[in-house]
Amino acid sequence: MIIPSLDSPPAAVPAVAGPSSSRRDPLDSPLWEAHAKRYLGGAGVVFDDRVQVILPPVTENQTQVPILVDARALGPVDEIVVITDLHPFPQTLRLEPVAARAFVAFRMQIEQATPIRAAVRKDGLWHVGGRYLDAQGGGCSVPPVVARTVDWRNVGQIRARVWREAEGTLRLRMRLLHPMDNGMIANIPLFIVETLSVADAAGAPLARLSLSEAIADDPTLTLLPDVPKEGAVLKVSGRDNNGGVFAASVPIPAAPAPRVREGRL
Amino acid sequence: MPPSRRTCLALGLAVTAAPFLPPAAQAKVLRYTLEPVPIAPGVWTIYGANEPITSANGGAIANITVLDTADGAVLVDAGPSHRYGEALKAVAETLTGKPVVRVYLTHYHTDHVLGATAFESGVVAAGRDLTEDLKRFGNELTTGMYHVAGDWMRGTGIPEPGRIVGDGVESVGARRFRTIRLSGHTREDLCLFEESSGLLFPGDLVFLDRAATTPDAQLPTWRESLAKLSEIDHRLLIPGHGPVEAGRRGIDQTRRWLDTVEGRIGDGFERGLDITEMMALPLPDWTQDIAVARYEYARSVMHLMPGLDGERLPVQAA
Repeated sequence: MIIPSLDSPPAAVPAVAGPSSSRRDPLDSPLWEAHAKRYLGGAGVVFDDRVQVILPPVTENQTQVPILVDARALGPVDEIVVITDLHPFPQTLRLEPVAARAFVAFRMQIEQATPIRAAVRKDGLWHVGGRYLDAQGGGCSVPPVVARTVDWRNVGQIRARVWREAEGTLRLRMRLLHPMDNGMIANIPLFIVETLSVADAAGAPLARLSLSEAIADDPTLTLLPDVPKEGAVLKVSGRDNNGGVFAASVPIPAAPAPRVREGRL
Repeated sequence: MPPSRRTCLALGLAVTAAPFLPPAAQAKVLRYTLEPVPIAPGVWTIYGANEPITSANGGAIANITVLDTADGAVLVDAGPSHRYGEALKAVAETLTGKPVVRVYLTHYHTDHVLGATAFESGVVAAGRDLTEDLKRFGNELTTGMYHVAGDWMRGTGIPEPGRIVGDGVESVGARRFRTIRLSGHTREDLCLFEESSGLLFPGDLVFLDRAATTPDAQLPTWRESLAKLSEIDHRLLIPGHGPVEAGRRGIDQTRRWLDTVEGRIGDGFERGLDITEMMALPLPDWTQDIAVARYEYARSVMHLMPGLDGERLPVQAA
């Protein structure tokens, strides 16, 4: 299956592609071509093992499937789009790692077994990796057996913590309390967080995210922003489709004291 | 924690990622081969495979025990499907030469209960909560099993236990079953202690040489239940999964497994790891001899992490 836009020789393909790079969909999904056209803006596409989508060995809970996208092997990238082929909302998440690593972990609702992929844009070319997730049907459109309780008083509450990673990177884990009602269940209107951003203390963006209806309730994310040049906090802010605005300042732990070699006596 | 949709679906479904492969077409009629192993006079255990539930094993992964009594056969658990229940009934009748007069269900997980539809409702005995959970979630339980085990499940419905068991002693023939309702593995784990033979049936509160499953687990309660079990002076312990043994190795190992899993997840959380990263953490050497350790550990990460996220990540103001 060749993406039409690649019929002409793609000038943008880097001279050195990964050994397993190819243009044929390794997951042989009938929907891929249409999704690529719709969500990747007609740019060139290459399947690339350096884009890792890590799935759990079993789908324990269709409303909270943990997904990890790791494309750090590509170096700095412009954009990451997660696409779930067989899903009412195929574009799961969009991330611009303005000053962050090509990495995101999140949890999503799935409707059925499906390929899940990450398309990573770098220098005008989409590098795509993905895996097939097996599951039963019905995570999005079937009401839960036990009515879900929503903590309405605390909607918008942000829990978050920052760690220091090696090489000037931070690790931000955050959870935003929100029902993320996807509008597919009778009499429960759409109510989701649409955008999230991470900025430094002065407001300069480090990562921008668009979330979709596919993101699980109480969005829980892990990102790897760069250590900001100034300030000792990360500013997290979000906005839902009802105009609700949520914000939090997350303290950055102090850098460990430089290792001093003990003098021998 | 009330049972959720998740906990009902979470039954050890061994679904690995495979690219668009349909389940292998099965032309021949599937039959369970039940091999009862004598463990005490007039008592046989049919061992479950130390595997996840798959379309190869038909869900026959739990230990099922047959006890002969003067009044008829007594079963502890009924297996994963109607077809298994039918085969079990035939084996029990052959072994004892008597009809099955009692089927105790230890907890609501599919590998233990769905075979009960092969028996009359009045023969099937279970605790109140289990009976209620089957009514509420039975459909989800069977749907999950049909998805994973496929044709093995043909004809399987939802058991309706007709006999509610509380705490006490029930006599069948000369056997005296002390019934003890504990919890921790699920919200109601019915344990049986057969006083005349000293056999202890802790259900899935005890796993031996097979990793414990945690989809409905409440770890502090589970530990309390293990402490209570260890006070029962038994001659043989029949774990829900794993070999029948004298002594308390199963109780101790289950506790150690729970401590290990909880410790690993707690440490990973403090390092900032998310679910899939934590699943990749190495397990300690002693778990190498535990069947499906990695798989169950990965499942436990998914069961336990959301709770930690909601409690241990600090709330941050603007």
